[in-house]
Amino acid sequence: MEIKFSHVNSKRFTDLSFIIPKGEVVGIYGDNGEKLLKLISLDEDSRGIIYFNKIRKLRRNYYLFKKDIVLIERDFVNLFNIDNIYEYFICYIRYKKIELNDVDDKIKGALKIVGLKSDILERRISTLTFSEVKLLQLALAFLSNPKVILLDEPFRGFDLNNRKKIVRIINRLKDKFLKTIVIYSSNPNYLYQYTNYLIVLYENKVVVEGKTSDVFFDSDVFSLYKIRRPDIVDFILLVKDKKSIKLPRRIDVKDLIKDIYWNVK
Amino acid sequence: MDVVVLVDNLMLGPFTKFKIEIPLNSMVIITGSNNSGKSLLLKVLAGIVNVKNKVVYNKEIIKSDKDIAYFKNSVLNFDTVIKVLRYPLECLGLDDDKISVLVKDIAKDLKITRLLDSKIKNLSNYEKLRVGLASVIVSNPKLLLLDDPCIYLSPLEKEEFMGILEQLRSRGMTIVISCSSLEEVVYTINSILYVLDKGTIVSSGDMLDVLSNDSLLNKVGLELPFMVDLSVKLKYYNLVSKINMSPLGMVMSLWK
Repeated sequence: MEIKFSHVNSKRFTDLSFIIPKGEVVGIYGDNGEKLLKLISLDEDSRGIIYFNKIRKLRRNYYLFKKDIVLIERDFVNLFNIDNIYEYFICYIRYKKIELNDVDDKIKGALKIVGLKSDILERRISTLTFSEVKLLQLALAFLSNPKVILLDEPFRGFDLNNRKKIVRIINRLKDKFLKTIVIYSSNPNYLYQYTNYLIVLYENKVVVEGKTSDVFFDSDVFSLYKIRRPDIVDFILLVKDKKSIKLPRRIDVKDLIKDIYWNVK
Repeated sequence: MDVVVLVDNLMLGPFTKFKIEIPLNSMVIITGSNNSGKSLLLKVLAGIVNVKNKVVYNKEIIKSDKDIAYFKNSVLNFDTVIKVLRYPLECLGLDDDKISVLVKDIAKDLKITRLLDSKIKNLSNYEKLRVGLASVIVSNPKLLLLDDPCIYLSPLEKEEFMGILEQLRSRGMTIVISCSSLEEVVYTINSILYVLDKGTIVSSGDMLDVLSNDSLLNKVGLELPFMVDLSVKLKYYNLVSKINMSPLGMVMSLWK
């Protein structure tokens, strides 16, 4: 689903115009990015023109889109004060009015996608570790089969293996099921590695948008507003600046090492 | 060296025959992948898990439970900062004047003096963390345990926070913290690093020694901070001799 904002105002943001393209993992970077996710998920009121798949959002039809969008919050909040995980799933399904034929099967499927074992259903939420809670949150979100998935700081607190797992899930959802994925992160390294399209906010305005690597390498907003760049981009630009040596744009440190080796030798 | 707390032969959750010693006046960092038992170990060290005398405290330093402080990022119980800070001292039964002085001192140390009258809900994550930390160290404990304090912080805040911890250590506190990433580790000085994987210690020792074994850390699932990673990998090619944290210094030393 393509989402287009055109001159949208809200309590916090003024004159927002940007496009969330189809078939890309989109990153949002900059302060108050999580508030922008709230705006996209239609949880917060806004004035202006918003298109979902070229259909304009109006007051009388917005529920049609709202159903298809799910926001995965940065911290898990127990909505129903229920500790048992199976019971929580059932309550969540009823609360969200999700129509499922075989509930147990769907729950197990959702758990399988995120890589949790189904015996977790008998455990209690309070006994789960940090990463298990985050994965549970993802599994809950996948139950309603949303078209747009908004993730608020999805990589925080995860180790390398789990992060790779989540990236695999995200990419599969994007490629196979054609979902629109939007990620907000305060860490530019993750955005540089895992997103294709980037929207940068500064002082509640969109200052630049475009392909992630182009934005990080070419845009001057980072030095202008003192926004942090990814470490590897910073290093490559520093080499260019100080020694006028142009290293290729790399994402992995291992590739960068080889470039440096050939250059220095 | 004196040992503050000793865990021996621990059999709990992922741990089997687990042993760890925390030396006096040290900064110990426990890191590891998800589900490796970091948080559980911290709780065990804090003595809040029922493990039947597997945890032994040095009676000369830790005289009572009041000398142990355990803090985890969580909801603060009162609505204003000053109430959060005053409460532990009121529980100790101190008089009003003394409480005010102690609160003022701790607020100055943690740079939260201007926040004292503000509401908790208006604070940023870093401010909340400092308020929470102040509320546990205001009673001057000997052993401080922090469960992933840096998870919500930006790199600059991490650096400043580690500086605060270093100050506390110089006052004689023994500090144990757990981290889910290695970013904050590089800001500490003379710290002891333990890397956990599924309940066993796979690597331990001085921070820089542990960090130079990048293949082991990657296998466990930890990612090195960029400059450390670059230095360690360039070392294999004999292009640099030691870990260099400054990008500019690195560029200058590479292209002479």
